[in-house]
Amino acid sequence: MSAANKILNVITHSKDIGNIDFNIQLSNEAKEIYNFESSDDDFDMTSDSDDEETENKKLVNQMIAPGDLVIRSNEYMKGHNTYTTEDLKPIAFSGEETQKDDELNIYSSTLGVISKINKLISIENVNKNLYMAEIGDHIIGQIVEVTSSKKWKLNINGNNLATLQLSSINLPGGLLRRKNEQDELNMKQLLKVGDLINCEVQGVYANRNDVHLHTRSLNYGKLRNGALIKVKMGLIQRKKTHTHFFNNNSIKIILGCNCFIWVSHEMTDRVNNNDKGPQTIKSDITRIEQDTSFEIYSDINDPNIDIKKRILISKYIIIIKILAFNNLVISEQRISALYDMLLSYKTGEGMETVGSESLYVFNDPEVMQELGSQLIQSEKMRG
Amino acid sequence: MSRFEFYNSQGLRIDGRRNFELKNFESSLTTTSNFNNFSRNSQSSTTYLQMGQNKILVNIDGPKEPTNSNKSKIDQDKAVLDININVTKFSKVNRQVSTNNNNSPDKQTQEWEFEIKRLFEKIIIMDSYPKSIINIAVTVLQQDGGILASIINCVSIALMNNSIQIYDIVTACSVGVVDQMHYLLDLNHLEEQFLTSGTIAVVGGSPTQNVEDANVCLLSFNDIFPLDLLDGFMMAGIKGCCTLKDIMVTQVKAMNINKLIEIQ
Amino acid sequence: MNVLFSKSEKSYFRESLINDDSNQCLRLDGRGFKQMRTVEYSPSFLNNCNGSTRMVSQDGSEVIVSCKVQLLEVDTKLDEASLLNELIQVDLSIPSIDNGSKLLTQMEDVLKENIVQHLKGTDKLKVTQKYSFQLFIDILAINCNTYPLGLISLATHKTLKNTLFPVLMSQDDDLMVEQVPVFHDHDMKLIEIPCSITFVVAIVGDNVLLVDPSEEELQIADNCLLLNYIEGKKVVGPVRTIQFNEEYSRSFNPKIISEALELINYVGEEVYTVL
Repeated sequence: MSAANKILNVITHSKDIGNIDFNIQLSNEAKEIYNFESSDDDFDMTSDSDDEETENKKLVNQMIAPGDLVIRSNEYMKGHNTYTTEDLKPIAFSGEETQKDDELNIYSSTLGVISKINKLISIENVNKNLYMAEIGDHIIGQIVEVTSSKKWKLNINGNNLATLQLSSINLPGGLLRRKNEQDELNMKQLLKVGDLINCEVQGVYANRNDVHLHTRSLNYGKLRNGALIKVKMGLIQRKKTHTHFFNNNSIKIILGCNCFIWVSHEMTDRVNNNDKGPQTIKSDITRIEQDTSFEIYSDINDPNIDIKKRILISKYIIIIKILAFNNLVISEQRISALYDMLLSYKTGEGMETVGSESLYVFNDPEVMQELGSQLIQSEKMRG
Repeated sequence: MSRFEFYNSQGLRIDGRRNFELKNFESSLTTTSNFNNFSRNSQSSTTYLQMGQNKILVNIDGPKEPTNSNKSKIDQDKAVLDININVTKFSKVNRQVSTNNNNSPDKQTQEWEFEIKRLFEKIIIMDSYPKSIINIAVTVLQQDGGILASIINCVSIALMNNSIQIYDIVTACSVGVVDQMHYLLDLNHLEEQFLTSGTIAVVGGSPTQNVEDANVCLLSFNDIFPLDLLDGFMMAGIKGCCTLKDIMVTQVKAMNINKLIEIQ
Repeated sequence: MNVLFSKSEKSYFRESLINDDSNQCLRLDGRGFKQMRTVEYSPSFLNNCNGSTRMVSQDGSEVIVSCKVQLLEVDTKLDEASLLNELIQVDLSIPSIDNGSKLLTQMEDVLKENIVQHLKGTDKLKVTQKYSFQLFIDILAINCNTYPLGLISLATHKTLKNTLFPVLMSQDDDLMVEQVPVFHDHDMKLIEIPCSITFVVAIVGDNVLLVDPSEEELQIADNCLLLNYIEGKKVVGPVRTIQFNEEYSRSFNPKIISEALELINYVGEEVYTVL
């Protein structure tokens, strides 16, 4: 029976997550009294070649742990993820009280790598867990709250909720429409809790903790006709463009900077409209007015998405999952490269890809890993 | 009272370690599953720590701003820390049945929760996460002495793994006294039962520095303790913690090295 | 639990599954309708317990099951049902759900029933005339993103399969003699405790049945069935329905039940061969 038809895949791990038990190291006789010994032999960078090992060691040495001294000088400024003896809370600190007054010790507050821009020293996190907003980022947020004061609160994968003001969205009725109090009452009709919004960061205040968004462009707005997946932070890098089209422009993927990814079906006629070029500016304005009718806030999906397109969407979702599983940075090139690989991937029995049965093969961790390493290899070949 | 033998004829402890030998130490991030990444509404990740026979899971959720439901908790200027310790009923050799009906944690656990909360409130840079809540859920799967120390170590590692800003790494270690003169590090449950013992947690400090440079941030004795032994006790504990810090840092770095390579 | 989906997402999921021709339907993750999610599994990883299992599902939900065996002096006046009720203790805790929650109690109930009903009429737990083994099954579910009963029941089944019992050294007839049973110091043996597996089946529309639904499928399903399967006997009772959303919940066509039974007969057999 091929893996594709299996009802249940089970991956069994050997006896234990880590082999413990009393680690008796008798051989090293007669240790001195204050010779501390950690019986820890599982930890060994078991690399294949010496080169790789030294390479790894180098990287390990680059990493900096919380509490480590980054630099001692008064010429540098502290950036993100650092702190100085000055902001230190009364608890703890090692006896550096004797330092000279004109020197400032900069310490790291996280596990990461040093990055130095001119005089600004900051630490780049190795584990990025939270989204740090920057002005102009193209992101996807989910509404979690409608407040009474003309604001929506959005979850954008950061430590605080972001704000979207009523005045920062395109109201139905076009640009010239007057705003009135009715709009405030209608807020819930426009955007509800749970809705996914494609938007841009307008401003970042209060030490990156207060983020304001806007959707004042036709590229932004409510998302429909697809599904969202979230990947780990750090897998999407800031680029010029975050909206990509695949498969003859029928699939649209938005790689939000906050690692929310939207995969959807794109109606082809609209794409053609956009391609018309600058000579139709005038008609575009009327189009804006039409587009900003209530339709852009509706919840109803395009009824013309057929099964083939749905399979395509699922396929691209799986592709993104494979990339994220292998901790690979997600980019347009990688998605299309992996798509080609999926097409040529043989499931053993030469499955038809139209039936949904064979798609799930790619959700198997082993297959995912295999495809990931294949992708890296092919990238290496190309250089 | 029959005297319990702490050493065998070769001067080794019952589990084969020497006086100052620490337990086997091993930790891993999000245990074995890589699938966690795809869950949408949580930023949580699980860290698993094994110190000898102690097995602990720490799950950190946040920092995140709560929505309507528990808004009353939040602080406008800094984060709020919420620690929850769950010592499972099957963690000891004999199954424990809680005496009170409503399954609330026993006194000992509540005390730990309180101590650990106070400790980490000072360690985490709370000012950088205003209006948010950090939820730390500790699950003790198996215990074998020195559990408080293990919990502190594991939370420390989990904070690093979750890239929550902290001032420094905290390490903790349990110490016991035999015959009023020998000190044992990192006790197992038999030793803990029969010895005068305590737990010591240290912030900062590394083996390269002097012992005096390390700062003790938590001290807890389980019973009557002869004060004239305190000096030696502290020395042993601090040295143990410093060594442990080294091991922890190298392990955490090794755990994260793949990310560094791939993300670059 | 309680993953937030937007309305248009939900209707997208539902539209994918509602179609007259079931060949035209698609699950979001590309699974077949009968297919379950991949699980990772590590057996016997707690050495304090007689049996333990850690199981991680593909959506990140993680279940830890431990089984401890204790000796219990049996009150001979008890009838079999209440005796078994005493001998099997199931304790489930999920940090994100309150301890007294009805949902939790219901799951505990299902799991206990899964074991108890197959022990009736057997004396597998009997040690001597007076003493019996008592099983404490403690279950812990962490990182729960969806209704975890399916995963928990798989893990419980696996745990009972690798639970070791001590071997009796003394005589087993102690009605006349006052004696406490003595066990071998090291020797342990397996006792096959039968335990049925609970499958969650989501019903969408008139003709679609989904095995092991994911969170998004639960949120758009008409209704869900909990069906039990045990090796050899096919589907066994009890059968329950359960709903997880307010938006789409509705009654279902009774004909679909028999389809579901057939489906689980097939799926259950496969799962048993894999495990």
